[in-house]
Amino acid sequence: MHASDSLTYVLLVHAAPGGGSGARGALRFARALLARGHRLVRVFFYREGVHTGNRLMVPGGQESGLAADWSALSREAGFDLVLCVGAAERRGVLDAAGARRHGRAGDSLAEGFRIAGLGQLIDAAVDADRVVCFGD
Amino acid sequence: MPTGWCASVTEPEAVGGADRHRRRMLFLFAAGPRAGLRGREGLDAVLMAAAFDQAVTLAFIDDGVFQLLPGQDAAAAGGDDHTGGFAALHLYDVDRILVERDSLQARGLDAADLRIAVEVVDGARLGEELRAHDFLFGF
Repeated sequence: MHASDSLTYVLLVHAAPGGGSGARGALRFARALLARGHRLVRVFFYREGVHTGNRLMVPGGQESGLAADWSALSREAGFDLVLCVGAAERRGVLDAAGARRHGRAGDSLAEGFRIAGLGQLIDAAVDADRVVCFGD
Repeated sequence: MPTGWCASVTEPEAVGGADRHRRRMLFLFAAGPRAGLRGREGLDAVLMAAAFDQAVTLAFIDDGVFQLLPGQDAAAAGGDDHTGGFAALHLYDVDRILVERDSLQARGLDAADLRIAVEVVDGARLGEELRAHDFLFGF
């Protein structure tokens, strides 16, 4: 593939692990686009997608290990995994700083993910060739 | 109508028109204001795109048209009301608000019932608008 054919992608994940194909489908899509030589800059988890980054979640079945799979792929391919702070807090996904800030007894953010504002979605989309969303 | 979907529809050469960093983003609202957090989180995304000075369009279809009704007393039902935010969109220079005609009519509404000025469009026109934008976000 010529460099000029390589596209820059941002993925937006709205689907929670379990109960639908959107969550696992996003990971398969990420692997496929990388295998074809495209570039993945960021995977942004919004709405119910923030549950992907909850290390306390036990979805069972095929969706078990989804967070670990994302984390491994992101390290390997050099893109970041971001949960929207507002959506995450509303759903009980907090990093250590957020847990302290809100007086919660523990944090729930899975390794390899970080929590940031919605601006990180728009900022990445502004420079992307493609934004693909996965709902359910 | 699929929920939570979005996709980018541009070819790289056509990206963003003259300004590569000002993308045409369309936010589609297909659910009612009490359908969980969809309306609230859709509006948050709209406001962030506007804060980044993107070319923002909103479109309302199916139960999404209910998001624009005035006089919603969420407190009475014990909830928070985000719908007031739609009335403030003009403050962010977001003034492209499209409402799908059949969705209004099927619900016994017309544009005069809504709290803000909107452009009523038919399905074919809405389809053209979807194709004319760089990124589509569905809520």
